[in-house]
Amino acid sequence: MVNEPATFTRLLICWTAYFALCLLAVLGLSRITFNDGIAKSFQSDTPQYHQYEQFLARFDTGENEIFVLFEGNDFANPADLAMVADFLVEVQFEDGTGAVVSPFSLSDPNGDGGRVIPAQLPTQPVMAARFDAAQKRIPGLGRMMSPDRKTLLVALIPSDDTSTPQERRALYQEIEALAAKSVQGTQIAVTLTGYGVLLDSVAKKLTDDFLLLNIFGIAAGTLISVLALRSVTLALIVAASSITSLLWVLGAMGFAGIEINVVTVTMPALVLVLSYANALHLGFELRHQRQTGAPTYLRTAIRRMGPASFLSALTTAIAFASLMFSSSSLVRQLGLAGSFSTILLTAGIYTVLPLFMATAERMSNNRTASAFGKHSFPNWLTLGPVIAFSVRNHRAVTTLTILGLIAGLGIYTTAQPRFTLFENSAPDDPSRMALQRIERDLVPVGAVAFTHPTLPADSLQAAQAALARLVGERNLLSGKTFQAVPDTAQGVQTNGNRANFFASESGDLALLLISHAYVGALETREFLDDLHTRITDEPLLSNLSPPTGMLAVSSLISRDMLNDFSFCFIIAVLCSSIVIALWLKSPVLAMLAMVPNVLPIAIVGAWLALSGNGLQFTSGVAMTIAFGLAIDDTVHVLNRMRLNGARGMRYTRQQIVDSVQQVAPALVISTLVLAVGISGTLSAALPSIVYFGQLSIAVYVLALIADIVVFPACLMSLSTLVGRSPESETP
Amino acid sequence: MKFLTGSIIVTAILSAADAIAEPVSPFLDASWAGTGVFRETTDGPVQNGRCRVETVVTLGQEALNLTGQCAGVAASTKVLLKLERRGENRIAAVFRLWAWDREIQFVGVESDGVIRMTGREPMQLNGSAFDSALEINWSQGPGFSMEFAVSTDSGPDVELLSMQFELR
Repeated sequence: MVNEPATFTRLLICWTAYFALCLLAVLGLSRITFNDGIAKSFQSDTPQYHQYEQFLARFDTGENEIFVLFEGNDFANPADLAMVADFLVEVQFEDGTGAVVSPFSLSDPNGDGGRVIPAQLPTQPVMAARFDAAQKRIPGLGRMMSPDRKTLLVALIPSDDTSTPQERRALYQEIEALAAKSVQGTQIAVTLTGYGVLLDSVAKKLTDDFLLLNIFGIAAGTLISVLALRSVTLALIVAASSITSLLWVLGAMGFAGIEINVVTVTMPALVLVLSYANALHLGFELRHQRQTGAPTYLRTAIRRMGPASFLSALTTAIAFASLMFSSSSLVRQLGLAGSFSTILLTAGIYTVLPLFMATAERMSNNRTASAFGKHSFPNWLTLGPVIAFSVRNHRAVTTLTILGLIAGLGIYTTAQPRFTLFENSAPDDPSRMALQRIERDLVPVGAVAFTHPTLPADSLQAAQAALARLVGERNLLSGKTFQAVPDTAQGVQTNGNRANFFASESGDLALLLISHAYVGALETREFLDDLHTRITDEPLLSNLSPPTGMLAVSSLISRDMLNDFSFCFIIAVLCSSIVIALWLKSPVLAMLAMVPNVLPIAIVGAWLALSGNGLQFTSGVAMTIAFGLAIDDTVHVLNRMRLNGARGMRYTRQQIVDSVQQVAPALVISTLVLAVGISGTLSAALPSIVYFGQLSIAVYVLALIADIVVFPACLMSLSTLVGRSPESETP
Repeated sequence: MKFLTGSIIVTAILSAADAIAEPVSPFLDASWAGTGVFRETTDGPVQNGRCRVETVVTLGQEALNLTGQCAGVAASTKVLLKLERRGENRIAAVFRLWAWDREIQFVGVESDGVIRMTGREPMQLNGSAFDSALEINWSQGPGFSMEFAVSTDSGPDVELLSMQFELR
């Protein structure tokens, strides 16, 4: 008889509170929004971002342009041209289309009817000859049609009333459907692209990936719980507790207005697997205590596991909170949400799991006590030989660890910040590939923006001419470009919203755009550095503003933001050390506890540097959070040693081996839960999530190895150093 | 793009009528689709285009509001026409194109399914004064047509938009 009696009234009160909280969480959940968030990544208190904000307020940047790429055999063919013309007319009736720019927009003073393409379409040979001649005379044509006439580009400028992501998505869908209908029955392929389209495709995949990660996490966590606990009843209690924690966390995120974006999308899944890991630790202890026959086994189990669980939650929360030192508002938001969620989920597990357990006990009336299974692990899970080997060879293992740590961290520091706006797009994404074909066959889609005072007019003209000399006439887009060649390229429209595209709203500034084939931040920074040198040497450009626009700003700010992650990581390590030092009252032991957790980061970081992947947002976030999760295992080892009566820094070999062996099954299982639970990321549609999963899993596995192999050796070496001779006490 | 604003003039022309189809008065609450041509500027090339408009009859059958959008291969604009019968076949109208950013006031007469109007005063465009004319014709069908044209003393008439409307 091991039942801890719970009165019906107490249970009723607890369940009422439980359902009330769940209902509240569902309300919060309904408020969750999905957004790519990439543009917000750079929201920061930096001069570059403030300048960009001012720029956005003054100019219509054109960064939301939609490109429709038609690819056929020969667009001199009148039937093909007629199809494009029909599309151009129809698309302007779509709500949200502001203006269209295409080869049909181009004036040709030498051409019939004043247009490159006349209203009455001529035969293919005549039109082909016209295009060939116009390619030499009309600079704008090369931007919209390839010399072989196989590629034709249409640029659509959304109207000002298409401002929300939902409105933009609706417009993209309408245009895509119309384009597909237009080319139906022809040999022409059509693809929608542009930065806005790419970002929307990221946002669409976010929803799918969010569902995938959480459903996979629940399935994997429950399956591992069944296998580990060998009790369906107990596994279901663990699963229900973890899912409840996830629901509460998502509800809190909804009420706090935290959206799901490329940075926060993995957080709920992490919360879920961490809940499973915590619930399993508590589940094992509950069952163990239940088998001892103590009537207050629930309280005993909570008392024994609670401090370590809350301490590990605290260290994980610290890792998340360290992200609040990032200059990116989006990363700071993740830090805040993550740290709060970690504490909330732990509190959730420690209230919900005992409630479920007590209810199950009462409902079963002890008749199904065996439903909770027996507390035992397969012997091999204790990893005895590995731990014994580590302790026996502690000097060699410790020396190798220190060398590995120094080398890994040294190499890690050489990792270059590498950011690209394409980080979240698969290389084979049709929109991304179309963008690359446009840049290859027609013109760079990206541009770096500069502004220049409009007055005095001769100063502006001189600056435009000087800039054109520096970068080439073809690569400079300005108001002058369009005056010289009316009706060309971006900005042509008749409904007013982009009439002042190259002039600020107040008319005091002119916009000068320099075409730039965007690959990534590193390449853009090199481009900007080179440009800066040439601009500085040109006195006529002394009034030119610093470079701005999304490409320039993201490239410049991302370098500092990525370097911030190193600082965040150092803060996480320091704060975690302090917390453990306070808990164990031993700064030395706290520093030692960092070794098995920093080592995996050093190894993965060194790989990032050596592989050329460098530092990205994904790796920065993944490694900081993975450190916070990995440290939990070390806390559980230290807690077990404390429970086994080990005090101070002098341990016997037996104390170390026993403690690590006792906790090893739980460490293996919780690592399995974390690694398998998060492995849903490997099937995600967004490459950044796949990468996040790969790095996180690598850190979890390395951290387990470090806790089993490195940490016992380090503990033994420390004991030896402080003067005890543990070997002599070996039984 | 300022060169575009203030220079786009729309013309409506009665195109060849379909001998079989019935003429339809625009004085209906209805949706219409128009096809035809228009120019973006007085000296610009003709381009093929389409319009989609709604008509709403008010004041009994005495007034008509036409609103919608016209688009060519390179440009589009919202359009508004307010017609009002003033007795003895007299008609007053206000015609507005958003791209143009101005309203033109017309007066004219209605006779046998044709409304012919001229601008109350010359219209200033790019430093030149233009006389303007607006004609709506539903005498020949199918549907109705609109023609909007401008002219100067020295130059020929310039038809800027020609649209034949049918019920959608």
